Amino acid sequence: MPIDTDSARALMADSLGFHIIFALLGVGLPLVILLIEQLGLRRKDPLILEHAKRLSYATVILVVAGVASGTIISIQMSLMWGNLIEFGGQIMGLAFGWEGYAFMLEAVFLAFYVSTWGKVKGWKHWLLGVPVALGSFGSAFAITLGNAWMQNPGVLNVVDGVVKTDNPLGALLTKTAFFMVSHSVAGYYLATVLCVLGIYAFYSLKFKPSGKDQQAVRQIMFRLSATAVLFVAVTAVLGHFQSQYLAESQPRKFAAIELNEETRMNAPYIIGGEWNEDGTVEGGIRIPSMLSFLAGNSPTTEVKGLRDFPKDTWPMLFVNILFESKLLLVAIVSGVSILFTALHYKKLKEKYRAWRYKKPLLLALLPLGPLAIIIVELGWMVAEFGRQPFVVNGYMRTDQAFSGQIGLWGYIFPILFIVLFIVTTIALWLLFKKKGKVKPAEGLL
Amino acid sequence: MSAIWFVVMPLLIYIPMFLVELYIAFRRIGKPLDKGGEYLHATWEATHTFLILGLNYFMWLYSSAIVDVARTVFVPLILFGAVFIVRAILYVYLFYIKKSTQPNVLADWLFAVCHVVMLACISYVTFATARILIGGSYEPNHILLPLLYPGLLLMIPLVSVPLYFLYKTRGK
Repeated sequence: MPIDTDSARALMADSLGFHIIFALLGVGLPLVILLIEQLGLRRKDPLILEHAKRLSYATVILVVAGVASGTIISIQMSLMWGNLIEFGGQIMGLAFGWEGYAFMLEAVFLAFYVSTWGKVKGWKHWLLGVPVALGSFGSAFAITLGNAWMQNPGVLNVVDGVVKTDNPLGALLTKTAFFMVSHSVAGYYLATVLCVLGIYAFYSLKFKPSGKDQQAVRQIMFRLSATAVLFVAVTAVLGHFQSQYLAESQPRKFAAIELNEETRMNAPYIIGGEWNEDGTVEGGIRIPSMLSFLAGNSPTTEVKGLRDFPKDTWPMLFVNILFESKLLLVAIVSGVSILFTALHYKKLKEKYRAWRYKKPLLLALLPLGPLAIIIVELGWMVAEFGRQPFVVNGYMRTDQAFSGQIGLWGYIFPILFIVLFIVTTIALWLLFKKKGKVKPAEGLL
Repeated sequence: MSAIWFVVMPLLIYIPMFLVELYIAFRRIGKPLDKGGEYLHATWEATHTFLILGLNYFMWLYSSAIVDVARTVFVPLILFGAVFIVRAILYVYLFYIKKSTQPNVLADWLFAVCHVVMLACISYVTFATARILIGGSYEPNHILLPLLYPGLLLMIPLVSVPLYFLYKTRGK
């Protein structure tokens, strides 16, 4: 593959890796804010409403970074990957067109929502936040539809190097799209909820709220942790069924992720092994027949192996390490979230319940958000590296999609992204740390 | 409505909104954080959404032209992108990080100049693209239009109300 293509891939990966952090928080925060504002309105608690208001300002900062990085991705797509756009324009264009609408809805109503705190009151203000949450969901939905088509495009009618279709909607709304959208969006919500839960754990440790503020913070934390457990369950169930469908629809990627060397029944599930160059697996703990059972609910399910595919179509073989790292982090994040929520159970003895707001558990909550963001990043890396060497699975290779030039810009953009990341992080830090303890809001009810 | 209007319409909305931001960016140089500043951060995301919409429509409706256009506008468009990030960095610094209400004239000027560079780049890109489209015979993806109309018809009135409110109540 030419050096410029590799540089372009690296730049695109950097840009997307950066954008995902802000995009997922931009998708999740509107929902979290609605949950907190709803709690405040129901309990007529101005302190809780002030917490929601502060989070809405954080969303604006994140959207600024998200808009900048998202625009750059559009620009990079058009300048570097023109052949892909030309190839799949009739289908992917619909997803990106819808994304534009959804994002516009989110951005305009976010500006409206943030600037009307205290001007529009009570449930009317809460309602203004609904289009923000819908827009952010729609945005993620549409973009993921486009990606799902690239992962599993089905049977294409290619004429003169361009996909021709009379049903772009049907090409986008597939079973792959359903699983990718639902699993990834649930993951974004989970990561955001855990980030905010971590912020309140920090708030509790730093400011040691007491009285009404303590009550408000604990109500918010319980609501967030219960929501997190719900999303843990949803992502786990969806993840399982998505993997089963992956085995059927994208067996090459499934084999690479799950370390399955050859097509067989009673395929073992291998934990901790790694691929050799020749398509054999070294090391790891083998659980007999488990992969067949997971893939098709029966130990006799036949699972396709990687060596059944031509070597020049094998994905990047480190995808299994990324996937196993993801599963490990999922176990940690799920365990801590479930433990924290379970300790709120009223029938539990008080000596156990008291642990939920003690320092060790609050400290354990702090890294959950960043870990959940890493899980999302790893998930997307598995999806993208697992699709290689194709950009549109089975039809267009990544090097064929490259149409442009890159030069020094390959270095400039990552540097700019790092600066933007640092500046955004400082701004968020100042918003929560320097503003100090939340005081009851006036005129919000 | 032909495909080109999907590109032209968002740009027609974007240009005046961007010019307002350009004007405010210069007006606020050397002044402490004022109401104008607050107005700016309420509308910034909305303004640039229209640019993204126009760019997206062009990319996907005129996908057959994208390789030729990209070759011609590579430098101004990628420069626009880089300056766009610099502007975002300065924006976050000026409105969310700077502790003192005292102005930072250098950052204020840089912030304003970013707008000028962006305007110059995007103007060049727009005219160069228009020339390529007029001179070539690129067939737009008509198949997408029936699926994009309903969104456009729904979205314009829906976002007009908050936009009107935001501009009407600026600085209040």
